[in-house]
Amino acid sequence: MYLTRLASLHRLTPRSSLLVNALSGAVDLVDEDVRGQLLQLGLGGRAVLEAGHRQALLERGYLFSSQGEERAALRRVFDAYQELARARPLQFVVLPTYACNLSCTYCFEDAALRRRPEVMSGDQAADLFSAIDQLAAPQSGRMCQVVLFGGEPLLPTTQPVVADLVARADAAGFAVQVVTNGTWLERFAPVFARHSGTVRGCQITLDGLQPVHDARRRAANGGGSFEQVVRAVDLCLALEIEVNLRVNLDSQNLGSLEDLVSLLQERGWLGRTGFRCQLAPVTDHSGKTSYPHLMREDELVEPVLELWHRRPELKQTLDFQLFRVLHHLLSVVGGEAQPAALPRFHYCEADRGDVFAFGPDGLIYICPESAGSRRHAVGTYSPRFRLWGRRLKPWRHRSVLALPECQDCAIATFCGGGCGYAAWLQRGSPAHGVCGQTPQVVKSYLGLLRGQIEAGQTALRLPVP
Amino acid sequence: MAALNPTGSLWTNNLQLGAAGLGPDGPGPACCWWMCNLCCWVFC
Repeated sequence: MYLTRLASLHRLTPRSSLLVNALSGAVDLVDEDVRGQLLQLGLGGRAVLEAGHRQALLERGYLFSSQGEERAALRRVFDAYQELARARPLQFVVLPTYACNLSCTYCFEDAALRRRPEVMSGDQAADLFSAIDQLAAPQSGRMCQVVLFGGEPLLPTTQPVVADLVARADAAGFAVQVVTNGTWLERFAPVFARHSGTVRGCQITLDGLQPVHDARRRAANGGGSFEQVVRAVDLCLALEIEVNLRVNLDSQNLGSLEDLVSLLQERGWLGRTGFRCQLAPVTDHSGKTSYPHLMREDELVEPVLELWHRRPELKQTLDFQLFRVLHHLLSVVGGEAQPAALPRFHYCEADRGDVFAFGPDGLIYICPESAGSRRHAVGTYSPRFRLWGRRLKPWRHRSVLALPECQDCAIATFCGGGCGYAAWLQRGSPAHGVCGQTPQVVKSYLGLLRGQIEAGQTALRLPVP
Repeated sequence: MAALNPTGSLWTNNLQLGAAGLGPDGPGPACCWWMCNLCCWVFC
């Protein structure tokens, strides 16, 4: 009898433990006897399981006749997941410029890169769509999407090329999404209106009420950006362009999150069709940033869940992207109305070869965050299309099945192996797994759950044995 | 031993539903229902 390596035990009370299966998604409560038997099995020993327990453990994907059978079961889940993932669009991320008119306190981009004035040319835009044809050809039938990114993609200097790119995407039948700081968005309204239906959504960042937002997201030449951002959101909604309002979260603005929610309500955005708000922790993939307000994800678990519990009406609108690691546990154990979750065999689309990013330097990158750093490029699209196999290879087949660091991890499919770009920066190649804060986040959440049980406030649906 | 989620809703079953174009409550945008925790980008 073989216990899957993707099983983990977490003590909840002195007499009960949570048994979590990251292969099948099963989550169970077990008593001390079953816990002891499972620990023995996990150590390669023999266990004497009562017939009912043994049957339940088999049905719920914990026990296998051999390691080979377990690996085959994992492979079947992975293959089915891969098949479903093909329903997702291919994403072509276009950076018309690396320049940005803001100088945000926590920006991950190199300050010198933000000042580079180059803008993608019309010839480059034409070459780019030719490259997209070639990149999409092996996966015919898949939806394609263009994401405008930067730098800041919507600047006076990028207006002609953005109009060109949107027109080309429209002609090709691709949807366009825009990741923007919103400050010059009004100037692009005629282009967006001319191609309504093509420009589907804008991600615009708002970090808090005016004093908080303007202190963090300053114009490079001084002054804030709050008022332009608010106008940009209203304008998008009026044009029936979906808005994903992103709140970059750290210790500097966490305390004022509820004020921001009040603003969303006052503006009539909360609950409005086409509007959602996403909390995203400020992250440092390099591991070298000296930004003083960074918070680890596990530090955010308690305050954000506390807000969620206190204001349950926010669950529909506030998308807690930061807790992707906890998505499954929150859904099953926390009694939260979260959508059902699947295992994460990949950290993000870049690991599946579903993303390509194009810089104004004529280079192709896999991770959009790495764009502008020549040593992270994987090919060129202008003047010639060429992929560099050696640079591309570590990104291909990057999954928890292949990453060496994930082979003995019991929660690998909650994390997906960590960010490939972070692995490149920290370990020299995307072919490594990086745990980030995944174990701490799970530990922090389960600690919170234990506290709730002790206080009699648990949302667990079944009585603790 | 007490199951906190039904055996009928384990990942293999959800993947089969998704492959059949079904979400937890019936037909619809299966890829968004089942894969929203896999997306690094914000748009589906």
